[in-house]
This record gives sequence, structure tokens and C-alpha cells, in this order.
Amino acid sequence: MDVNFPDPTDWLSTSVPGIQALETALSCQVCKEFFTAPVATSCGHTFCSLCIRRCLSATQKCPTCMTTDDESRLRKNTLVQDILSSFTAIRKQMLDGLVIKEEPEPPITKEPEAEKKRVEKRSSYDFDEEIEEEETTNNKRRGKRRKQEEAPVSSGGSSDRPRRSTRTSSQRTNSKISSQTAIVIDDSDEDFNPNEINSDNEFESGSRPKRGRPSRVPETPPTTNLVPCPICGRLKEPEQIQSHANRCIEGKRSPSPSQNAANAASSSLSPLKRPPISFSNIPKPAATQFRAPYTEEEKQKLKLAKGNFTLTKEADIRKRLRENGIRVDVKGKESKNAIWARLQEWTNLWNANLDSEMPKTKQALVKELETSERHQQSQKPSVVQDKEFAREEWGKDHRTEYENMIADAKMRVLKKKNEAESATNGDKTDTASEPPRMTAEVNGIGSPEIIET
Amino acid sequence: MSVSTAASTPTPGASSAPSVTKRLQKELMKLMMSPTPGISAFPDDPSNLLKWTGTIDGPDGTYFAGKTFKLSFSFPADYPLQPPTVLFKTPMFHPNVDMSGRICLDILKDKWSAVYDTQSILLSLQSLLGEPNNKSPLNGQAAQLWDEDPKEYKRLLEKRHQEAE
Repeated sequence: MDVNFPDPTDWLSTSVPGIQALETALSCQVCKEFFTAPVATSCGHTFCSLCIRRCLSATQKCPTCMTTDDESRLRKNTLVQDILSSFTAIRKQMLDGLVIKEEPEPPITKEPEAEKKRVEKRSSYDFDEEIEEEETTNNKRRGKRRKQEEAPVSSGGSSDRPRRSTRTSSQRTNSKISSQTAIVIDDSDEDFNPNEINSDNEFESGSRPKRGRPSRVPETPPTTNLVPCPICGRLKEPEQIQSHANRCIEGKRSPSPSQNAANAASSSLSPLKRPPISFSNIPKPAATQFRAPYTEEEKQKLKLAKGNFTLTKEADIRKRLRENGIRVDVKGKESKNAIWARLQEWTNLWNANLDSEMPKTKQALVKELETSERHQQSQKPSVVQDKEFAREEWGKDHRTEYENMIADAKMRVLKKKNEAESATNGDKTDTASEPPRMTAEVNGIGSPEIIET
Repeated sequence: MSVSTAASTPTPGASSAPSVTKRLQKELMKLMMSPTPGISAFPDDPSNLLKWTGTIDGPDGTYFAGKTFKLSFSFPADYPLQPPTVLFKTPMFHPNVDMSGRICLDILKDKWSAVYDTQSILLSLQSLLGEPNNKSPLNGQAAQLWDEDPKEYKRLLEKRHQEAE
């Protein structure tokens, strides 16, 4: 066992042992390592993309809170990624600076390199956003105003995204009225960041900061101020669309004067109390409507669907595996279960790779799949594995490491025991009839190490 | 067998080390560096991280106070997606443990979650010692005596425990 890789316990012997908790929080609870491509579940827990996809394949439940969840609801957690990147970048420095004595060498992190790459390479999720944001620049004047009022709010967290993205025209039309008040309210917000307001110039010139991107501009209709009617599809001024849509709903009969008056009143006087059927949902379908077919490059960024075991034909599974260059028995020696499991693992690897900052090539993924599968198989009949493995030789080679570790543990336990005994004035003799394995033959002296418990 | 060698090599240099091994190394590190009083666990053999032995100190104020119990852990290849097999190695007299050491505990069966680890299993078992689930006993006699005849329970427990020595 080596100690040259990062572990939260490294911090225990520093002057700020509390950093252990911070590092633990930045670790996936499934693999217990730093997050790799962190994604959040719909219940708000964050895991590595691959870890949670594997868990959901197995149980369809969040491992932390046991809430039922689905892979399609996972969302990238960019905030966690950013925090983690900055943490790992300074980890060595911090550890060196805070260490008290004889600390294992901190690990070499590859994160700064990773950060550079993440700017260049985006996942499909980011890619989509980019398009939306490009579109909004067509609407500069309005976009600018809205950015002012919304950026501080949406900087709270990426999990809020889907909801934010539906904030649209209804509020937009009111921006003249509400922007003043909105800024005042946001001022009191903890998340409020005055820099956001000053970023207007950057926004206009199109040179927005690439990293961080905590703020998100909601979607807008792709072209001009005109909004298509949800019923007949004709383009109308946003101010008129409400009454127009009502007319459409009523079978294109001209509305009664009283209704007309009511509509006019609702749209001009109390814009916040609009009826539920509003045009706020329109931009989305409109955006997808004009979407060009996927290019080959875009297809490489699409997530794969999980499919359904009973509804998928065995031949289709084989075909899909073969298409991706994954090994399948031609003669059909393998059961449907086996090849289905392989396809599922492939889907997990593929989808997780899309969330990654540094996506691997397809070939690398295929290789990874094969390695993990071989490993699983070699582990299953554990007796056979044990026989084949040159155990004694390996044990001989690593004997000293193992013994050092045991000695280390013994000393630690002994030290604690000594402390406890000195506290109780040594009136306590052997309490356990069968002491724990690690304390069995303790007869050394206490270690000088400082251990926080 | 280069594959199986790589599979059970706990050298971190092997970047392709499978997730099971890496995860178990992490757990071992945590148990060693910040030990929890009353529990411990360690691999049986440096060449095979998939088999561990753990110990639990009987919680104070229970029949088990002052005793230490050994357990065996056997981790599956798809751990932590699947729970390890945990058995009491020290002879046990407990409503939810049968005579061969098998344990009836939900988190080791259907309530298992990938976020649990060796430490949380040991802590759960420790609390199970003091608070058995007498509704679904594996050892009917123990379940009956637990509430009705503490003296007899204590006597049988001592008898079982002495079998260990």
C-alpha cells in the first residue's frame, strides 16, 4: 500500500485538520475519490458521472437518499467541478505549507492541465447552451437588460438551470418595470456579485468569460421581437399575443368587448398576474423547430439511451455492439443477459465520457470496457483466481510494506491505549478477552505522531 | 496471468487498477489513518484485497460488553455496487445471527447502497448487537431469551463465546 496518492486523511497531521472534511465533500461517495465529471441527481446529490450511472443501472436509486432516479435526469455540476479544480490546483501547496512534520509527499495533480483543456472541449450539454446564448445576442438590447437582473440570481447554482431557462418573454416584457426593483432586491442577495453588472461590455462585444459561467441567459425566441401564436403560429407583437391567443382558443370568434377589456387590463396593468396559458413556453418549441439535423460531429456528442431489456432483440444488441467495434461472439455463445450487460456498461462509459472534461477516444473506451469485463470475470470464481495468482511471490515482494503498515497501526492503537490508560490512572486491565487483530501482540512504545480523532 | 495479477495489485501506479481495488485501498487508508474506536478491519493477505477480517468491540451496556467479535468480509468484484458477504467468525449468540455466523441485516441485503463502506457496516453491526430486530430472528431461541430471560441469555452467550478459545 502506497501513500503517494491523495487522501483526505493527509490533512489530519497538518495544522488545519478540518480540511479533511472539505476534501471529503469534494469526493464521490461511491468511489471515495475526487469527483470525475461530477453530475447531480434530481435529489441534489453529486457523484462521478460514471459512478452514478453504474449505480442507477444496478438499482435506479440515489445511493445517498434512496430516492428513485433516472439517468436522463442527471445534470452536470459545473460548480463542483470548478471548486474541485481550484482545490486540486492548490492542494500540494497547501499541504506543504500546513504540514507539521514527516508528511507523505503530496500527489502530483494533473488538474491545471485539465483546466486548460476544459475550455477547448465542451460536452454536448455545454454545446447546446452555447447555441442558445448565441441566439440571445441577436436580442442585445433586451438581453443586456435581462442579464443585469438575472445574472446574480442564477449564479446560485447550476442545479437551478432547467427552471431558469423557462423564464422568458412574460418577464422580459416587464423588464422596463421590474429591472429597477430587481436590482435593488438582488443587492441584498448573498450570491449577488457586482462584477456581473459590469460585465455588460463584455457581453455586447461577444467576449464573455469562458470559465466559470455561473450566470445563464434564458432562452429567447430565435429571431426578432415577434412571437408566434401557440395556436395558429402567426407572428405577433408580444404585447398583442395574449389577446390574440385567447381569440384563437375561442375558435377565432371575435371576443366579447368585456373580455377584450379584461385582457387589455391584465396585460398592461398587472403583468405579473397572467393567466396560466401564456406564451412563455413558446421559445423552446420554436428553437427546436428550426434546429438543423445533427452533423456527424454533433452525433458524437449525443448521449446513448439505455433501452429496455425485454423490448430489445438480441440481434439488435449484437448489432449495436458490433457497430461500436465491441467484441461479440458471432455464434451466439453468449447469453442475452451477458451481451445486454456489456451494452449497458458501454452506455455508461460512453455517457460518462461525454460529461468528462477530457473525453477519451472511442477506441480507448472500448479497451476500458474490455479490461473491466475481463477483470470481472477473473474475479468471479475467486478460488480459481487465487490459484492462478502467484500469491507467495507477490506476498514476498510486498512483505515489508505490509509489515510496516501493521507496525504503524499497532503503534497508533497502542498510543491511544496508553493515553486512555493514563487518563483512567491505569486501573483498567485487559478489558477485551480477545483483543482486536491489530493490537494482538503489541509491546512497542507509543508513536510520537500526532493523531486527531 | 497478467490480468489477475493486475487485478489484485494494490499498487497505485497501475492506473488501470480496477475500481474495486482502488475503493478498498481508500477504505483501508481511512480506517488506518482515522480509526474509529471499537471497530477495526484489515485485509487478510496483502495479495488479496477482497478478503478482510474485521473486529467489533461489544457495546457497553449490552450483553456483549467487554467482548470482541471477529468477522470475515468477502468483497464481490462489482463492489461497491453489491454488498460484501459478512460473517461472524467468533461464535455468536444473537437473535439476528445464526449458528454459522450468517447475519440478517437489511443493509447487507436489499438496503445496500454504494455509499456504505466497511466502516459503516461495522458500525451498523455494532449497533445491531445492542438493538436486535427480534421481529425476524435467525436464532429464535436468542430472540425469545433476549426479552424474557436475561440470565439464561447471558449464560448461553458466555458458553458460545468460550467456544472461541
